[in-house]
Amino acid sequence: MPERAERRPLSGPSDLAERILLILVAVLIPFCLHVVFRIVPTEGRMGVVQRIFYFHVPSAFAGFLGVGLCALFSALYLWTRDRRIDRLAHASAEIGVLFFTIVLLTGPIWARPVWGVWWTGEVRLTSTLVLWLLYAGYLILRESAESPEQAARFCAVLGIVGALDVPIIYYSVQWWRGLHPKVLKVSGGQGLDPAMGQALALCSVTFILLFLLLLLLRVRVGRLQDEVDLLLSTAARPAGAA
Amino acid sequence: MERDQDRIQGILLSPVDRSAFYLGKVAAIVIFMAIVEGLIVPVAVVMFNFHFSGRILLAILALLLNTIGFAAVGTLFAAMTTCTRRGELLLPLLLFPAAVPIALAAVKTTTHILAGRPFAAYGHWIRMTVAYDLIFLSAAVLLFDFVLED
Repeated sequence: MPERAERRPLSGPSDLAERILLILVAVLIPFCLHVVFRIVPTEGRMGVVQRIFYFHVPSAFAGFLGVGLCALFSALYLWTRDRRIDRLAHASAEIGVLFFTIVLLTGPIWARPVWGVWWTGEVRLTSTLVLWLLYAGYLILRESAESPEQAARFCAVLGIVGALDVPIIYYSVQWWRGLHPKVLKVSGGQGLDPAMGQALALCSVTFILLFLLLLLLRVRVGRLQDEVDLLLSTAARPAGAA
Repeated sequence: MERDQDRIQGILLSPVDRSAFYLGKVAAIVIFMAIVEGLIVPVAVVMFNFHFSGRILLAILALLLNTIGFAAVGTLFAAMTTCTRRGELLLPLLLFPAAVPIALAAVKTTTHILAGRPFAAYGHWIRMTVAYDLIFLSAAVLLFDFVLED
């Protein structure tokens, strides 16, 4: 199919966005590293290890963005039944899981020197782990379905139910005794140092751009996967039967 | 259960709303779970030599509310997972994380009620359970049509 092959390297709006995001992320990540490791003052009590905070918290933001977008695209998919929207929902969930994995890996690295343990039964940690499990289940459900259409439908239902569950899971945080620092909620005078706040904002923006870049790339992989599946299914059919 | 021998086709062909089918399933599972709880709770009381001083009826009501929430999510997920290739394996995997709030609430409310503490100690957990029940029952009623499409 030569005409199909020629149309491939098309430069649609998503290709342009991909390129812009790639450049932004490529510039911003070294800049973030510079700011985090050379400019921001070292935290008084925790020392150098506190700097992981600038990767931990933005990853959580990106993860929540993934969960939220997944629910949004899931609802849109059930409404429109557009395969492209399902690919967006799938990509959001997958990259959300990726960022929550980063959260769950960077957390213990920080907790070990500061709390003295890698992991505790604290509810913020538990609820993040539960959230991670829920969306890992989402990805497994997608793999286990009998057809892509069924996978899309079931995952859309789970994406909506999961997002409804997230605030409920997180409500229990406030009711259980909490050990996790609530850096962003301090209303008194002992909040973040302005320089730290700026670094956090910078890293958050960078991670969200990185999220969007990965999202576009993942959607493209999903599109190619669909095309491969289509070609394989047509090739598997005996000639003339189609 | 209904997937056996395509009995589900009969149910889907009957002139009943899908959400009615869903609520019927939930009701059946709640009753079944309530019977099991009615057997297990007295056994646990005897085995652990547990002395409770609180209001038992209230504890049963709280347990029932939690059971409804668990069944609401469980039924929705079971309807999906039974159609997939991993079937039975996938249900606990999805249901466990989704039902964590309800499990926490069940533990907290029954502990406080049976210890005879005032309503202020556990009122917010009961409210959360009721919210959970309402949110997921209504979400599932809306979403169940999509699950049973094939």
